[in-house]
Amino acid sequence: MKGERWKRLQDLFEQASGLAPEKRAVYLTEACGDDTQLREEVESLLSADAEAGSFIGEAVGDAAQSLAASVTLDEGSRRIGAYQVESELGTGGMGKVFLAVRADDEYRKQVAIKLIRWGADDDEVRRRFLAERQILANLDHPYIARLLDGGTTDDGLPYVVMEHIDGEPIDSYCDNHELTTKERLQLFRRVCEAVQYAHGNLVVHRDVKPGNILVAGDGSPKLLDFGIAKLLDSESGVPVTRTQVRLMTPEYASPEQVKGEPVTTASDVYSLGVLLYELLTGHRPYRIKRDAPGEVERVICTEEPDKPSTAVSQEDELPPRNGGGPRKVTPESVSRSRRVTPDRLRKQLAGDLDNIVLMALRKEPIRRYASVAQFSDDIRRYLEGRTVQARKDTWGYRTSKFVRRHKAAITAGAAIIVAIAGLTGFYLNRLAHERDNARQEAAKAEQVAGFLTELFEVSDPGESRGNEVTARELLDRGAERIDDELVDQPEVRAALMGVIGRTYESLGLYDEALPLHERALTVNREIYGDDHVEVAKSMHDLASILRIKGEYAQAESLYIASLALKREHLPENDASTLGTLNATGLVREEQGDVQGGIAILREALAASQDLEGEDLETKAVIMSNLGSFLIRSGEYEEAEQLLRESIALRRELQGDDHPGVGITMSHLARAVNRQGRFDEAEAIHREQLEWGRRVLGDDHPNITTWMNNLATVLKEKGEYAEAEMIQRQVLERYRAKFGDEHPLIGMSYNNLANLRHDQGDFEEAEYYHNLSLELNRKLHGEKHYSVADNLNNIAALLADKGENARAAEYQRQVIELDVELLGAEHEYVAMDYCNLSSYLTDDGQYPDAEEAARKGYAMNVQIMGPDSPNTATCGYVLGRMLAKVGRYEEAEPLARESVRIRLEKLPEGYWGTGLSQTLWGEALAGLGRYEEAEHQLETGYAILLEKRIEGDRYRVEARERFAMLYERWGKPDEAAALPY
Amino acid sequence: MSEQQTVTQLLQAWRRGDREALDKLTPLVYDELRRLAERAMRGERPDHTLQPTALVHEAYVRLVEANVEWKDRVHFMATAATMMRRILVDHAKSKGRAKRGGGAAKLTLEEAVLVSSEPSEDLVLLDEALSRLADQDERKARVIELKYFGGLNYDETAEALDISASTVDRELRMAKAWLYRELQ
Repeated sequence: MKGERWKRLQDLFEQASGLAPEKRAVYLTEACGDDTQLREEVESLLSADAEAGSFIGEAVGDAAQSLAASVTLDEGSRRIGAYQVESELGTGGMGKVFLAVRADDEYRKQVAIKLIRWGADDDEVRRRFLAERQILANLDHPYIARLLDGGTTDDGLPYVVMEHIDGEPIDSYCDNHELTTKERLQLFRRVCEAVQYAHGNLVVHRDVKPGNILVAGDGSPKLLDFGIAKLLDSESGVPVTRTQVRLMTPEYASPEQVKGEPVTTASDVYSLGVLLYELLTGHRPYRIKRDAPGEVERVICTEEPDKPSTAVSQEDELPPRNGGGPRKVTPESVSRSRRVTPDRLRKQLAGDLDNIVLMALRKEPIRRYASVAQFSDDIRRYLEGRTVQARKDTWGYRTSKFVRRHKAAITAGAAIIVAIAGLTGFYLNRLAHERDNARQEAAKAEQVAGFLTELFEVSDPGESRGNEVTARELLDRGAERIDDELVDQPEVRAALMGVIGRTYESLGLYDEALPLHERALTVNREIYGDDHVEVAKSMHDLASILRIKGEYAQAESLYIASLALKREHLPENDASTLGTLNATGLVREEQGDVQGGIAILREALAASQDLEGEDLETKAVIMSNLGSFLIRSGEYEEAEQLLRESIALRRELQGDDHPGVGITMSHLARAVNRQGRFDEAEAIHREQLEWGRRVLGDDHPNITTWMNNLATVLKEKGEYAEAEMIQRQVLERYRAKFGDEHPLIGMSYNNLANLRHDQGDFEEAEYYHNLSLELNRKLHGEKHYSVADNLNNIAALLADKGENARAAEYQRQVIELDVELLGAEHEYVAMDYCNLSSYLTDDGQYPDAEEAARKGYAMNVQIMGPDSPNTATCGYVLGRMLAKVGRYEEAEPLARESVRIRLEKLPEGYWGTGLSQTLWGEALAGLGRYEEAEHQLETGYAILLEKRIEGDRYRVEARERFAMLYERWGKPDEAAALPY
Repeated sequence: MSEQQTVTQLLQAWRRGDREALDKLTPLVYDELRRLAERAMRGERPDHTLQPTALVHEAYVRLVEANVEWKDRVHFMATAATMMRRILVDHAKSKGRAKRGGGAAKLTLEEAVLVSSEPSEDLVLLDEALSRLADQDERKARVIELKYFGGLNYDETAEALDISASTVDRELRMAKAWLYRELQ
């Protein structure tokens, strides 16, 4: 309900409730007139008022009572749920592990129970824990320790019950049983099988290390603690915190894990690489001195490990295994436990095994094996003596390998002939396969079309008995029917799930779309196996929904997996592959890596040059996205050009009503806005909103985004009331769509805070800023541009409250973050310095202020150009500082330039222009040029009187300047007469 | 420094506008409230309806020095009211969950999701309605919170929110009616 209407409702309720019940009707008839809706509101509140009684007190009292009843904390209890604890197995970072038996189990089968203490107080953690635990309970694989059960103890601590494994950690098992390199590789591949299986079920282990892989008496590995690390994340998909990394064994953590970046399946590939390194060499890839802070991150992220074949020749001292002292490792000890000589071991590892291990250990996730399956396959190839992928696949290499395999039988020449024959056969096979595929595709498409047609026939008035059927109902019905009708046609079912899922998605019904895409992926895997383009497509669909829901890390790992499959199975630069590449770029940016996103999209745009026909849409999409990223990184002109091209291409291909046109228009409006052309931007926004409501309907989430953008432009123009009204609607709409914890909610709070700030309501501004900061930190961690934005805005707020020293402190944090996220030379960094200077000036720290302003000014001139609005702002800041210390000669030209640029680039009557004019006036007055000064001060102060509220600090400062002119000029009466 | 002195100083710092003081104060008060709740509730008084507001007062007596200003006392209680609400709602939610899942029995994913989105307890519904009210009219929701979860009287509420006592009365009446209608 809008503020005014709510106020009216309140007034009426108060008046009416003060009257005797019989007099209320007359009063309301008169007061409400023909606004029956309002009258109904008041009446329903009045009747609630009569009945309410003490319901609140009762509800609160009952809850307190029930809390009393539930508190049966008994520290001495030896029972957890239905289990009797027998002994304690150990204590980990997350809580204790117990050996227990089910109390009612006559066979007394032993289980391991993990009691989670960490974060158990947080409701969100517990909720996630329950959901995730269920996924883990579904992991059913012979090499994964089963999660048997779980629950919450009487005092609210979550626990999981796992199969108890009586085994030995894989590293000591291999050494104690003196497994050969080949045996070790075979065992390792079984471990891979288990991890791959879990990845197929969207579970990342996150803590692969020897201690979590036990080998049972029969020689089969069992993985423990699958995804347990993730259970401890307050948000799935949110970077692991540093504390959690510290809980891990640092040697096995991937670079992205120690940096606190999103953890994906590629992180497990890395940790498996460390494990394989250790199993093969007896050494660890890195030596880390634990005590030194920052050492872990530095070593893991920057040092290149020795090749395994080099490592085995070295001596080292490693930390103890299962108690005991540090272990001395020598070339002799390592080779003895592999039943070879040191020299032989080195030769075994040199070449392919070096390459395989190092490929898994690459710093950048995207350059490692795309999946655990590929990693394991490469080891299989090695074991079979075939070409491994971990080396560049040159012709010379392939031939030499081929020859080695058949070296007794053939000469090199013959080898080439055989190879060519082989390749031809391969292509013939492939062609035949594709023909089959095409036939199947056609049949499948026909069936899908048939199903959908049948579905839409129900909307025929005869069939639906006169009731109007909406598209939504049709879809719901379709989703229900898939299961009943197509049991024996899994391909068609999967295709339909995809179609309906995507349709839900285009209607903004993400919760409905998600399960369909999940099931489509499962079904496609069952039909085609893991290595198939249909699986890649389902992965992409599922990732898109997860991305929209803010589960970026999960989405990214699916996109990357999908991309790898598409690149393998589709022609080069296929539109579908580029679509996934594009999405990978988006999800990068959404995780705060703008430059990473731009790099990926530039790659995609370059690859899209050869597209034609309908595929050109993909190119239009890539241009639009790249344009929007370039806005973020401050390259407005290139952005504007790309966006205009994209719109033109879209209109040509699909006509004006295509959804994409609207999205790109919104980016274009921002690009225009950022260049200071506010009126033009507002017009584009309004046109686009109108377009959106017509084409997409008012409920569509994009409408909300555009409303937000319109509010931003209105704010820039100083039209606060309308801006705030829209911004509050935006917040409500996002809440309804995404719940309370979503990046867009954080953004809405931030925008609302800025609006309240601009209107002088510091208290509410601070309240919303803190909500936003808290949420953004929770969702993204500390190093994210949203957090930098928050801190920057809070600094501005503190300054307006007069807390300049604290403001400067915040701004310095922002600089640090921005330099790290965006680089040392960036539009934002330049503005950061200007802001810092302005706070320091107000705090009286003039030398520091001057240094910061000059730095920001120079950077602005260089990056944004000498005529940019930002340069004008920074010039003002520097000029103001100089005027404060009486350096009017230097201040005057800066102020003049600032006025000139603002008059030229910004809308007429913009308050900042007025402010610059008063500074110019101050400088002129200081130089004794009173008449010129009076003219500037008059014009400038008039604008501020109109655009800023009374008591606003800019307005106050402008008046002081004006008054000072008259003091110097010897006209104190004029000074006193100035309005406030 | 005793805990009483610490809390008292934090309170005073907070009133002078130091937000960090509130950040430090919050966990202290929260922990004390939880502890008191558990202790009071483990005691044997099954026929006695426990009033959470009594806990807030008790926490105050235990945590704050006796000679503190009335204004600081009000701010303490206003903070404690919010925390009391959280403690009770958290409990009500976890209880709703335990009920549906049958204690330690294995939950299916559907149930787990269902429980978290449709908590059965009255208090959880009240809490949600209160949040909706806060979206519409922050002050009304806060008045309810202070009275029912913190036990603040009219004068204290008026001081905490910087409004008159008669405004408190008016706000309370409409807020109650609105919530009641919302929960029908």
